[in-house]
Amino acid sequence: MRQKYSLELRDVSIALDGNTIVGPLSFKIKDGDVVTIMGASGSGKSSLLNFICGNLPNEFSQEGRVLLNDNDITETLPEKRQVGILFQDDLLFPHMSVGTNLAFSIPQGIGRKERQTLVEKALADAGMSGFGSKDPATLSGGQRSRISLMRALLAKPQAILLDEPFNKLDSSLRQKLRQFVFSHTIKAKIPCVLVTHDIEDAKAAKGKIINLGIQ
Amino acid sequence: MISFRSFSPFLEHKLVRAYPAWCLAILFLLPIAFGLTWAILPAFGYFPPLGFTSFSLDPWHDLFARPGLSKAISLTLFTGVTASLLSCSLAIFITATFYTSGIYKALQNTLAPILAIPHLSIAAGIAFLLAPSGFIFRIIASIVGWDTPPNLIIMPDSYGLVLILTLCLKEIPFFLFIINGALTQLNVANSMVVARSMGYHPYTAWFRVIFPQVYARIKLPIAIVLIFSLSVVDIAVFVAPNAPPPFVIMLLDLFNDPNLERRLVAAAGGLLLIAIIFAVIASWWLVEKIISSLWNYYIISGGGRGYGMHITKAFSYLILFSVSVMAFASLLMMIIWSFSLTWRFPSILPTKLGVDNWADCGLCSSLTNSFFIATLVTLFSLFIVISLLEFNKHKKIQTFWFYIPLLVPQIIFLFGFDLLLIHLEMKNFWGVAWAHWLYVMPYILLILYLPYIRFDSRYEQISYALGNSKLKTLLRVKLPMLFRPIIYAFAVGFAVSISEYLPTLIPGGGRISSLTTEMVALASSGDRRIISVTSVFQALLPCVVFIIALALPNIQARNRKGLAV
Repeated sequence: MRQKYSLELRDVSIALDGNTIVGPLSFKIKDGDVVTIMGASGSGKSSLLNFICGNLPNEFSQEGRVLLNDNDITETLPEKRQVGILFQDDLLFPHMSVGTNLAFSIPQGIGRKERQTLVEKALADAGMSGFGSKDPATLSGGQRSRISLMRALLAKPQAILLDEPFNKLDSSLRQKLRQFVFSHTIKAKIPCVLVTHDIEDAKAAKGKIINLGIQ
Repeated sequence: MISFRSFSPFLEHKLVRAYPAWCLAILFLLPIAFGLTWAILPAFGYFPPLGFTSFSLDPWHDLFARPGLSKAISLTLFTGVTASLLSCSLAIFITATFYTSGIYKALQNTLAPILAIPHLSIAAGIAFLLAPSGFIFRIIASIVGWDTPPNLIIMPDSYGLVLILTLCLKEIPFFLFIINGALTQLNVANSMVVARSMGYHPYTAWFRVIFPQVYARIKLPIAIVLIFSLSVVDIAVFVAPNAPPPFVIMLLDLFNDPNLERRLVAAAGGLLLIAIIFAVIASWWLVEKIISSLWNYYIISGGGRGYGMHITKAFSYLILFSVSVMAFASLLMMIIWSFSLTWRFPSILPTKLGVDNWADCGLCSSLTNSFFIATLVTLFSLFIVISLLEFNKHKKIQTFWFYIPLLVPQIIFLFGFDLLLIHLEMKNFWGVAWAHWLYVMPYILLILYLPYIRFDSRYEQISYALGNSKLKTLLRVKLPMLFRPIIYAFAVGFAVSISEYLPTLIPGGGRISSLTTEMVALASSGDRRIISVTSVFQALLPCVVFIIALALPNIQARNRKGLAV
């Protein structure tokens, strides 16, 4: 099967107060592939993700383009980009049940019945059937991370960004969650950018590694 | 240099260590027990000081037979609920629209001094602005050519709309402040990134994701504002209708009635007021539950991503603009009036200005009373609260009890407390200071509690390890690091004390005058010049303390990046 490059960064550089903190940087990712961005803290990893999803604060200056499925989305509003993001904090909304958290991200225009089926399926995929009515605060760290990923994927993103998502977990849990995450991004057939400072994460991603520190 | 070590054995003694508990039992629990008991018993006909020694329901029969009772209650309900609902929702809209913008940061910096301005000053300013002979009608008169004020009953109007406006002008800044405090506890930026990545418009994302979390954290402030608005006395004297008056004013008249039997009726009325407040809060809670379940259903069934919110945005700009203009104009009115010697209708500006009003105001004793009561009471509150927190740092303190004075309408609680003062022959300066302390201390605790329990105790352990005593560690390490919240708590306590009306009037028996009691007494005189001078003093005093309180920590932090906020 011929795979095309679906996410592309062209000559991206980001500067703060005249000092370049990222780039210039270019890379392309195919559907289902992962590119890992490595670097120490303060190397501009998070700024790069903010640039891709459109949330770079105004005090940063940016250059270069980001293309998603051949569309230039550099100037598109974050909510119109269809780029999902996962942080090291799971950011499950504490005022909603686990099920409502999932339903919240299902796109508009899908009927109530189908939404419920999608939620059930996502819960089953996470190995958490029957957890729909639970309070997110009662879940374990691993469960929260899995729900957080399922929630990001239910929004049907065209690309997904992972901002050190395994950072807060202990090592055995970390391994399981890596497998869970990457198997799902492959299944969803979307490009994935992983930002981390842990070389084990990069190895598990099995993709290209870009080191931000040494450029 | 004082050696702190020599004090330590004395301070370690069990009974000495328990002094916060002793103080609180005597100074706090005793008046609360007394106040509440004597709020309840007279309502059922039992009041030995006046010779009523058998229980009966007569006070209730008398209460319900009062003319105008139902009108007074509906007025109180309408103004109290509308003002709370309006100010809370407007503050939420303003925050939702502006929280990322520069306006919001500028607003947060000006909020603290605005909050320090007593309600009563704002009320006086509004009265000068909106009365038939006030500034707005002077402008109209100069255009239309009137030479006497129009014969309108708008100040106060019979629906209490001006009362609602005044309450809103004061409560919107309060809610903006509280909501900002709640926002700092949330991971707003990243939650917004997540919600926007799911396709939600930023405004919609804020309301679905951030607002419910904020709301959960501002329930107690909402209850406090509701109780305040339903039972406010001093502002009502200025801007509320008087025939019939709000229910609380009716109660105050009953308490002050020369016919002492009326105090029993007033006590029954006090209990009715508590029942009304309870019913309002219960209904608020019920409506909130219904709305939140509908909300959840909407999200599950595929709520929209929300575009086309420009109207709400324009609305927020309009509200913020009008609130700022109104507040600013009413303060300006007050300042101009305080310097005006001749300002006849329909002149838009005074024809003769001077400082004579200031020279002849005769406010010396009120000013010194206000200043000394506020300073003493706030310092003592800080001392007690810090001791309490310091001696109980490994235990969980049930803070709820300390908020009781804020949760019971002042008029009910203070008349019971007054009996205690009569027993102790303390109807003087110290009685007033005691009453103020009951209202100031909860605020000090509210502000210091979180910074204090969040203090990283490893700093103390390091100090102990360096051979410093507990007291030295407290004074040289912990308190300097907590300087910002402490001085801020001082400013809030000071402002609260300055603005208290009933806690000065009732324990002082009219003999101790403060700026606030003076203003209310002057309200009926209608002498705008003296009212303005009093009002400027009343607003200026807490404002100056606030500005100093905000500046001092920055001076302390000038070469210490770790202390900066």
